[in-house]
Amino acid sequence: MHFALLFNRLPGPLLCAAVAVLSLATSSPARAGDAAPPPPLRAIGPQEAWSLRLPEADKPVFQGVVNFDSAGNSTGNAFMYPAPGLVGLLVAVAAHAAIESSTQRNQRSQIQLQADQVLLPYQPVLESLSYRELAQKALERTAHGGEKQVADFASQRGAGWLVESNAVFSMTQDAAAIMLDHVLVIRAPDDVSSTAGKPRFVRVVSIPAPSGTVATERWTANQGEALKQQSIQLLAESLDVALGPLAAASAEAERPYKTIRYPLGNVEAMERAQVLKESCDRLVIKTLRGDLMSVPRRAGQPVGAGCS
Amino acid sequence: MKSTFRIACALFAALMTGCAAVPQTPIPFTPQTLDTTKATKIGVAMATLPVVDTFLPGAGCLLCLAAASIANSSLTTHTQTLPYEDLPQLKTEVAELLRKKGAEVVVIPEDLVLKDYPSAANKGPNLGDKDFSALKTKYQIDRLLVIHITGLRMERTYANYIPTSEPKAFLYGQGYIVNLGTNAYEWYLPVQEKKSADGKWDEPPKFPGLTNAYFQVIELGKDRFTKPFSE
Repeated sequence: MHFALLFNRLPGPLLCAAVAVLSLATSSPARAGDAAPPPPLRAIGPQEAWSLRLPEADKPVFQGVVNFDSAGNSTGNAFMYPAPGLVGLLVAVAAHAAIESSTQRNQRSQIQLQADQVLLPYQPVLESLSYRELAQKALERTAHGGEKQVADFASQRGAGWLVESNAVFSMTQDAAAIMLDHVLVIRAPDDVSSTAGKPRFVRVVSIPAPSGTVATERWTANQGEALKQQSIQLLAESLDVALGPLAAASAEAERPYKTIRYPLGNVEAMERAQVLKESCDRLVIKTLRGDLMSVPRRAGQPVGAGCS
Repeated sequence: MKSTFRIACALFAALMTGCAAVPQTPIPFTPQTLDTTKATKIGVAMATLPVVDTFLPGAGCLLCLAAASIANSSLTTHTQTLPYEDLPQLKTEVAELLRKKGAEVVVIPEDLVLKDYPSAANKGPNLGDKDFSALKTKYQIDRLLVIHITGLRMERTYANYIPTSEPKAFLYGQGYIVNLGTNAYEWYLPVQEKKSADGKWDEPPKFPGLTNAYFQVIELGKDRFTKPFSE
């Protein structure tokens, strides 16, 4: 039955119900926790001990920076649902939704797989990396807190703050920069609840390699030492941003939002955000989602006194 | 019989082709376009900006459109609150770039309501659709640069009831320089920019991922319109 015929034959209440069901079927489910107030943010004090709990897998996750701007996007051809009645129509629409959803999921996976191809020349180096080693060295470079240590995923919680770490590294498609997405769950010493609090998300983008640098040589030389050091540096920077006073202060920040431009490899990226901190070569910004980012300063952007 | 069928097909094809509007092809901006050796004045104007809204192409039937509209109602409500940011100042930015290239420029203060201008008498390839001679007289200009943003919206494609993509931010438009003496295009640039949300998009009520994408397309669009004059 064609939809127009069905539309004409449906009584008013049934029509309303059909629209409501269809709109529910095509919208995303409401997410729990949307209305929950964010937990009060506290910074780890300069003398306070903390430990960084590693994820279960020791191999750090690397992927290619992906762009989903062209995902989906095709207007499907209009067609008639083989619908003998309202129930039949709903079943047909549900089947259509399932097929479409699966198609879109597959397409996104394909785009991600394609983006991951950029890592192929660096696989031997990536295979040799250990999350524990990166985290241990990153802790040595962080400025915050007193005594700090790495804790295994299954280890018992010690005294002091506990920071659960889950990091994903992404390489830009020109292999000129690495981006770290770090999800951290921070538990104060008195927080013994079994449920995880609201995770804090920090993104750190490395300063792009100078033009003329051959990426494969840069990242693979000396058993991938540059890749390892860059990963450690990004982890350390993310911890400094997430655990320092800036993160706590950002919750009340009333600065204006503007569109910040920054280099993501050799491509210019943008983010609508508040600027929380500026240094000679980096900006720390707070995004519309409330996440924190540390991004390289754009070439040619005015810098403050004392910067060359 | 066979030849009759062929003729019918040919006629049908000719009729269908005749109905389709031929899109204007891009005309590059070159150093010769401005021709600063002659004492000519160029006006820079913007057409009225479009209403910021959501667009659901593919939800073709009434019931489909109703379902899609309800499913995206919170996004629509939010989208309609998004500002133009500094987009209205784009003509001033373009004018400044033209001045740096040595052109004598007049910024047309009012927004052009294109439907209020008469259609051009002559139609054809590389000819403007509208007759802007009123502006020629009013501002003593020889050429007119128009920035026409035709769409600034969140777009989500559908196949009947089912979305075939996540919503994305889009900016559509075109920039052109029309010679007010001949009504010929001397520069024509179609612009289309799109950005998806970084990560999840369905974050009511403020949709930060898509809002970020919206401001990104504004910046990308501005870059596209200014790039020819900043190189």
